Amino acid sequence: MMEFGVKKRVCLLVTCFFISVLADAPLEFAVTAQSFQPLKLLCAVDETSGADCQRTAQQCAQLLTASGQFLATVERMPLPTTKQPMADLVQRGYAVALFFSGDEREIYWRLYDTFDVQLLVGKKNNIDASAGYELAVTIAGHVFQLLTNQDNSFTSLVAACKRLPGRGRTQAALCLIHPFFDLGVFVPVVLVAKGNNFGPRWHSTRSVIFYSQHMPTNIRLMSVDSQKISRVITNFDGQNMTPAIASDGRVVLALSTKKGMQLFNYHFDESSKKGVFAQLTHEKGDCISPSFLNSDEVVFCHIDERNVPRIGVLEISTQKTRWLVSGALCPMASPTGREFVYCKRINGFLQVFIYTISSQKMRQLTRDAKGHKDECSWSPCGNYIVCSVELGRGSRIAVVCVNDGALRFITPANEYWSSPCWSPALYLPFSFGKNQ
Amino acid sequence: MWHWLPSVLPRKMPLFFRLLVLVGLAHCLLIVSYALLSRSQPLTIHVSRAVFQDNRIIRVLPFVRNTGQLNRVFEKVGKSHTSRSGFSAIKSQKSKLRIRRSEKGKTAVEGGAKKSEKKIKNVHGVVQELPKIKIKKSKKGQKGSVNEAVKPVEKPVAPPPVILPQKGPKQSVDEKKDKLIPAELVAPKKSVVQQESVAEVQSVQNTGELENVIEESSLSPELMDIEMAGSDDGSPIVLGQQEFELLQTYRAIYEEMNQQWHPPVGLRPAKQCIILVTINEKGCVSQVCAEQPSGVLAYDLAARMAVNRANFPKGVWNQQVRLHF
Repeated sequence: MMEFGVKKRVCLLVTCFFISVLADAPLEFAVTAQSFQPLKLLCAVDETSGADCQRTAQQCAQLLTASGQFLATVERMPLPTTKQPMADLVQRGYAVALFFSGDEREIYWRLYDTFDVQLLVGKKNNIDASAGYELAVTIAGHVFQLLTNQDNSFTSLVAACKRLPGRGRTQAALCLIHPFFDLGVFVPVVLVAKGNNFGPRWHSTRSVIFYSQHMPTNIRLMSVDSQKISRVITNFDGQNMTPAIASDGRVVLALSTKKGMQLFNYHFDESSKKGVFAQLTHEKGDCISPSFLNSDEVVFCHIDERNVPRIGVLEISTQKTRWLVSGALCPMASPTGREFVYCKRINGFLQVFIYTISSQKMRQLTRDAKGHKDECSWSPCGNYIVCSVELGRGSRIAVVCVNDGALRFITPANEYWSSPCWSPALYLPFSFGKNQ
Repeated sequence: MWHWLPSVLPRKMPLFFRLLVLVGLAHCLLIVSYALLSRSQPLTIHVSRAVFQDNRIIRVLPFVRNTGQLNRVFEKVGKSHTSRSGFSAIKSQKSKLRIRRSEKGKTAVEGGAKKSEKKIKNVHGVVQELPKIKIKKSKKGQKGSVNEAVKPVEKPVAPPPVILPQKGPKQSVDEKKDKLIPAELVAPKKSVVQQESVAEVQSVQNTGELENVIEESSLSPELMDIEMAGSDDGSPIVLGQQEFELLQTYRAIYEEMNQQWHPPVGLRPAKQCIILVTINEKGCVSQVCAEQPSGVLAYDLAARMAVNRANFPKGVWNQQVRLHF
């Protein structure tokens, strides 16, 4: 009997083997997306939770929706205890749900995969009344990173200049705005209220912003730190503008010379305890807007004597320049340094372009004829570009999505905002959410 | 065990039995190796959007399961249309394609797809769509038999008109195309249901025509050259019944997924998300299994959502479908 049993098993195995070998494989299809849509996400707030919980959920939803990759909606509902409510959410098109509950002291938030009714991540955070938007930014950043595997720029800020109303001399305050919150939610932080300020540039590692300030005789270079203390950096004759700081601390800036504006390398001489400026460019015309691609290469704009701009890359070690794009201005290197954004006039309007260094290919990002897009700057995650859009007498700040060129305004139409510059670091650079 | 064997075997018998067992094992080995080696490799077919929207003409041969042109056409389209948006379908098929014999077994077309293709092109570059009419089979080698066979097409029985083969070798390819390609036969303009009905109409027992057409073709070598030269660009796609049905399934799934699959912008998954979908006999998605996650959760969830919303065609009901996103 035992022998027969073994044979039976062997026969079964052989049959199974043949079935597995000869069985038809399932149909296979490879599908490529023709268009994109944000993923629907539900921010569900427990019915019994307080106002803080609701506010945090709304702020999270706003951040996630503003990223362009999610369409978050807030609903008050009883937290599900069975699988059926989750199945209902799937039917309503929600692939993920973020549940908020808690009281006045704490917030519990849990991210669920509604298909498998599986907890993806969950945490408990204390509510600090003075924290402002930090909690929402933290939660949204967590969720975003988990779902997309990408860095987020929720914790970053944009430095921009707001023209102040009034008669006489033009006054422009240096302010901080949030690229994903509306101004109604995040009130701009005013850093420098006096003077006509423009061209802010962030320090690469420290919470310092450099900016230029119009003076009666010249344009001087200033800095302001997180304590809102301003200092004069350079005060030479002519223009002192737009410094670029590399990750290793190297500084290049544009200064006026007899031949026009030229790029200078700045370093601090330890022996003489003085700053030394070494001229890098010797072009006829003006060399402005330097930006570091890497520690040795700077992309900049050269405007010749006929006022025709072009973009070149200067190798600092050899001081050789290779010209890449003609008729373009305001270059700004991406966080990776593999590409840079610039502006070029197309059909009478300045549009945003991206130039990839390795492939030497350019891509037009914006196409609409609704104003000049100018003064571009990259987000730290590299997915967005902030620029000013000037139409008529007004100027607004807009965030452009690098992937699809979608444009989203972050300042109102009745105010004049210009010179945006996105903070490079992925941390809260200033007293976030606190205004004077 | 072995009750029927004598208790004491002659001297040569054990050797004989050993040999028998050895031969049996060798046969088993051969069968297994054949089963493994002869198993068809997955045939990858790239179908871009242009396949169904381009003015490509698809003709379906009656009594022919496969012509091998499906793959060729998709490859060609894949090369010519290098759009980022694409759709490819992979189907396990046997590489050796066969044209079905006629009822009486007299049809000369049999064997590899190339052979059948060549013979079909030889006639007029376009293969006729034949209506559901019984035609008397004419004798072999008779001139004019093709025209005779085509005559019944004029009867308003079947909606697609049949194209008369043009004999003139001096005619340019474009001119011929204009004459040979009626607008009704342009595949993209038909709905899936309509095309299926056409395919059904074509599955009629009519074997004599094909045979005669092939016989005719051997008489005009000049025409053959012209048609072969012109067949690379814009010539109609000649498909067998099985291929046509497959194409319908591809098309239906393609269109459905086009409607449903919209991932969030800017996600860069390191690898494909492969989802195995089990569709029940009612056409509902009964099980969705992520065989290989892409590494980006939002991407995988969007893919699952697309699958969940999709209405799969009847061709894949009660089957499993593997989708590569």
